[in-house]
Amino acid sequence: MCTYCGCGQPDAHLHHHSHDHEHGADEGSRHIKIEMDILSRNNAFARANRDYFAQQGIFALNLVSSPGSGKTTLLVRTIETLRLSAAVIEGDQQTSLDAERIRQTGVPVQQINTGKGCHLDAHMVGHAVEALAPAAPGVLFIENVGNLVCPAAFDLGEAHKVVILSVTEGEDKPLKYADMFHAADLMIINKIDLLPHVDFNVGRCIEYARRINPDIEVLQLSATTGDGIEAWMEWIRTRAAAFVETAQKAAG
Amino acid sequence: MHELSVCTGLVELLEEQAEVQGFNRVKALWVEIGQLSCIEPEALCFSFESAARDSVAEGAALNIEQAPGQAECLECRASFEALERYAQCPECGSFRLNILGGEELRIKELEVI
Repeated sequence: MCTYCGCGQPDAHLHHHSHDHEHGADEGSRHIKIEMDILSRNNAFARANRDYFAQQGIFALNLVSSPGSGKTTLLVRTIETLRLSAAVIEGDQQTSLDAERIRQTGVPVQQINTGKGCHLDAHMVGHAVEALAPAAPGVLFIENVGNLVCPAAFDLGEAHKVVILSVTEGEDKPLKYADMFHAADLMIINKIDLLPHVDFNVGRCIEYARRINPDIEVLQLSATTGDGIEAWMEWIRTRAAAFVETAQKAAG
Repeated sequence: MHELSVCTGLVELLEEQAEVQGFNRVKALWVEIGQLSCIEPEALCFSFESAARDSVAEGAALNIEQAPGQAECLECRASFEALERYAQCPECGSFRLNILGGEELRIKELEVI
């Protein structure tokens, strides 16, 4: 509980929107009215990343999911199938195990360990991009920390957030983690090869996701068997090509 | 617990403002947190105290105003207060909503010395 509230009412730090009292200034202090987004520092770094990606023609995707949804397996399969210039930023709290898996595909990879941090932020990603110097034009995959809560709030400068949900998880996750499904442009339903063995209603999952985000696109695939991968390749190729074309036009 | 990193960013903003606006210490601040934002007010209060340590905002009173979620139905255009992102239109039952308010994460006012 916050014990620092100045209003002198129980639970007053949670008081509602409209004020019926003045915030009186003590002697020697003054009040400053400002309108400033609390996330504006992260958003400024994200803007800088986005500008850099646009200038260079780097199509960046921010991949978010729960731990264990198969993000890294999907990424390995994607890189092997895509045949476009690609680079990867790997976010994990600890270890470089995922980066090692990506490195074996032969593409450049930069590991970020967030330590106790539960998400990547735009500042970390900016430094990782400097170190990585991804080939341009190309695709940059940013694999976020496995967490469906915190990464929703932190813009990294990506072109799209892609949320990955596997059929071994609950079909109601879009409702439970609404912020993330609201922020994403594409939902990938992974591990569809396991559908005969699990109680997961794909139609209901999509309906829940569209309650949160009516415009969200949906792809169903299995990173292990390769089923549905071609539609995902097409999704990336089409958007990456349009992104690079816009970048080149802007550059004259 | 992204509230802690949100607070770290908030304290950095206050440090910046101290230079720009020429003050030494923040005694109190008023922030607006939308009900549909990703921030839990209690967790924000808890994190702020530790994030503010050894900064211009050490010991500052953090006052949180909650902005209600406001939605407009994309089907029947009814406006209503939305308590959740998956709220249902009370008029026609649709889930297709346009969120008009409640996503705010804003600093509104500072009391400084």
